[in-house]
Formats: sequence, C-alpha cells, structure tokens
Amino acid sequence: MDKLLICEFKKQKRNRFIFVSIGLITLYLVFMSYYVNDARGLYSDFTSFYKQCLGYLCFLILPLIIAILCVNVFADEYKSDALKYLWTVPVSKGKLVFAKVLYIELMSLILMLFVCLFVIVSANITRFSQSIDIHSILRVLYLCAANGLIIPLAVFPISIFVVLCKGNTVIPTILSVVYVFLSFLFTSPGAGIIPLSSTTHIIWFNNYEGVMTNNNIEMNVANLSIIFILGIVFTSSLLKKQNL
Amino acid sequence: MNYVLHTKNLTKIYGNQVAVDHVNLCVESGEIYGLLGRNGAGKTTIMKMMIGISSITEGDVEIFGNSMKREDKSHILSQIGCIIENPGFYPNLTGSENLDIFATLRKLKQSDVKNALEIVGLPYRDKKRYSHYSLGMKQRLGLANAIMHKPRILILDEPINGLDPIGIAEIRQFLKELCQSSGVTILISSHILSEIENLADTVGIIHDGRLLEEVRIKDWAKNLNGRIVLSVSSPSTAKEILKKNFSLTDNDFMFIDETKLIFESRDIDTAKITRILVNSGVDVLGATKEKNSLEDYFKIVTGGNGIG
Repeated sequence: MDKLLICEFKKQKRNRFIFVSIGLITLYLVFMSYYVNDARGLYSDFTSFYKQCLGYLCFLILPLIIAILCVNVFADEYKSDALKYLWTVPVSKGKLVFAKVLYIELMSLILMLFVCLFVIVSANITRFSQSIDIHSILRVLYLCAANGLIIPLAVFPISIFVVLCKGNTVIPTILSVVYVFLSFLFTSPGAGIIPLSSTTHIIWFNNYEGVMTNNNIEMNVANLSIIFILGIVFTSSLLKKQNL
Repeated sequence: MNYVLHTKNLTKIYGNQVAVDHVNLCVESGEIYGLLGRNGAGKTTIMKMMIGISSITEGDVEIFGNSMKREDKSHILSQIGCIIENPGFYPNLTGSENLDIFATLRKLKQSDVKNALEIVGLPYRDKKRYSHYSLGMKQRLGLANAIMHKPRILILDEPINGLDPIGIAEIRQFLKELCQSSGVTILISSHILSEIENLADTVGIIHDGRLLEEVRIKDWAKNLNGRIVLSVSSPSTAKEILKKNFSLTDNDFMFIDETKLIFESRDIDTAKITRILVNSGVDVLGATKEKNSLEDYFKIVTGGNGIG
C-alpha cells in the first residue's frame, strides 16, 4: 500500500496542474488579503479575516481543484495506457483506488496547510496582527485541516464517471463543475442530500464565526460517508470488470 | 505434452461479434511462438485475455499449468512480461522514472532498472521525458519494462513497430539470445512476416478469430511447395495443357492474366513444362520456380490477400 502511495506521488512529478493550483490559490489569497485589509468598516479582526479568506476558497476553489485532480489522477492512467501494465504487475484494483484516495487527501491537506500558513502570515503583516492569538491560530489550523481532509471525500465519487468514460475527461470535468456549483448554490437546502454541501455543515458545525449551518450533523456525516463509500466500491468494481 | 502457455477453446464475444472463436494455442517451453493475423483477426484480444486485462467469455488460458480463470492471477502474472498494443508510460516522466515506478511496485532494485535500460540501449537517468521519445524509443522502453523482472514468458504484441531496420535486427537478436540463454518462452505477434519467419519456432495463423493453422517453421520449410511463374503467349491455353499433362486442378492455379500464369510447383520440372508447352504451340517467354514465403503460405491458409 505504501509503495502504491509513493508511486502516486512519483507519477505526479512535473504535473503542471499542481503548480497552477498553488498559483491560483496564492492569487486568490493575495487578492483577499488586500481586499479585507482595505475594507476597514467591514472586517475588524482576525476571525473575520480568515472567515472571508476561507469562504470562497473552501466552497468553490478547493472543491474544483480537488475534483479536477481526482479526474486527472484516474484519467492519466487511461490516457498514458499505463493502467493495463499496472494490472499485469499485478496491482490490486482496490488498493490502487485506495492509494489514489490517500494521494488526493494528502494533496488537499498540503494545499490547505499552505493556505493556513498564508492566512496567518498575511494577517500578521496586515492590520489584523493585533487580534491574533493561539486560540484563533488553532482554529484556522483546524478549519484548514478539516476542509483539506473532508472535501476530497465528497468529491471522490467523480472517479466513477472517469472510470466509466475510460479516461475521457470532458464529461467528468463538466459534471465536476456542475456538482461544485450546485453544491455551492444549494449549500443550505442541500445539507444531507448533496455530499459537498454537507461538508460545509460538518466543518463549520457549532462555529462561532457566524456561518449558518444545519445542526443535524448525523444526517450530514451519514450523507457524506455513504456517498464516499459508494464511490470507492463502484470505482473499484468498475475497474475490476472493465476490459482494457 | 506439457505446454507453458495453453489456451483451451478460448473465446471472446463482444455483443454479437465473436472476436476470438475457440482458439487452442499450444506454446512449448523455451520456444518463440509467432502469432500471425491481419488487423482485427483477434491476436491482441487473445494476448489481452492471456494477461487478464480482458475477460474470457468461454474457455481458459493455462500458464505453467495454472488456470487464469480459476487460480490466483498475481502468481501467474509475476512470471509474465508483456507489451500489448502500445507501451504505456507516464508522459511527464523520463524513461528511468517510469521504470522506477514499475520497479517499486515489483519490489525490484535500481540496478534492475539500469540493467533493463542497458539491454534495450536506452540511457539510464536520462533527462528526456517519455512524451519526447520517438516511437522506437517508446518500444524499447516497453521492452525494458517487460524484461525488467526477468519473466519466464514474454508476450509481445507488435514489439518492432516503429523501430528502424537496425533496431529491428537488434531486438530480433536480443529475443533470440533471451530465448536461448535464459530459456524464456516468447509469444510474439507481428505484421512483418519475414521477421516472424526469421524469429519464430512455431507459427499460429489467426483469421477472423479462429486459429487456422499451427505449424513448426522447420516442418513447414521442409514440406515447402514452391510455385512456378510462367510468362507465356497464351496463359489460358497453357493452363489447359498443364492440367492435362500434370494432373493439375483449378485449385493449383494461383494467378492468371494476359501474360502470366502462377501455379503450385508440385515438384514438376520447369524444363519439362517448357518443352510440352512449346511442342503444343505455346510460346514460353520465361519460366521460374519460386520458393513460397511465409506470406504466400499465409495467403494460402487465410484464402486472402496477405497480411497488410
């Protein structure tokens, strides 16, 4: 399993998408830092600063990045024709899927830890440095880590469509974009129904930052867990049955 | 006879189309088995079923006596190296990096990667990415990946595609040496019939999903019936005279046009033919006896127009 995970990282060497994603996130954070710092009447403390920075990033940008990453890590195996050679090694289909889940999880976590660091550093060099304390730093760390770990679970079922399309990226990418935007638009009514909408309510559960959430945490966790497990099961079984 | 690789009534059906129809291939240990067939004949599908990347509709594949259908595939597959259709590697990585991935998964050492690259004539730790490789380099890397773990069977689908003549000769030599020195059994398919003729010990001819013939090259060469090419003033008259004098049938005649007549030689002396035809008033402009090539044999067996 560890070898498969190491290989997933090796496969992504020189992957431009990762660098583009980091660049996009950096641009967004620079813009948000500048905007929030400048809007003196609207944002007064570090809490409002990180809430604003994480807002669109975790609702839209990160899910889109993770969805496209998920599409790519599966589609690359088909496009490069490497999948059939992996099966002849042989590599277990279930383990390969699990390795890819772990890779996406780790990449998402790394991206969000970068966001966490960026938010804390930029808050320190803007007017919010006065309101930073260890508690708020830990809170940002928690929110970033939670987003980084939970969002991929909601996005992973996209892999079913990549496998169904045998590596064609057009349909899965369109579906990913539609899924992310629908989840964003229906964040409240979609709680417990759309997994990506449910993640918001799980991550910000009992928050003090003023984010409106659905308090039925069990329903949201169940929704996310069921869809994620179904995603893994379907992707693995499709791979097992598929002729290359 | 114990076969290293044996297909038993191997069948593959896609919807209503029978791609492979009850094929019984028998590959002996340490031999090079050439699989011949036109495009779409079913060669690649057979190979895919052998390595388990395509499901078997009916029948079975036995490798070292183990059933691919019933037994643990991982043990069988670890003894096989293959190239199926195209070599499959990650375009963003170099050749060494690509092999490194497969070596990691196979629990091999870096020295195995280096050794495999050296064998196929590719540089180790080169900075050139796979996406910038020529078709020949890609084939060589595919071959390196296939032999890296020292398999007992090599299944190679068109491995010399894209190689230049020197590259083809090198690979041919390498495969022969591998077979002789290490006792590796090789199943190879190719469109280049002369290559198979030079390389293979046994040839299986696949046509429309069926195995039409399985012959040992030595036996085939021994019983080779040549053909006689006649340039005559009246091929149709000549044909009738030959039928009458040498007990030939219409099936023995392969080609006839306004000036030329080609038929199976059946050990008939060309001098005798010329004498009889001239005596019968047919002018003979030329008479040559030609040896049948594997391509001719392929045409005869498939009843078609050759492999291309």
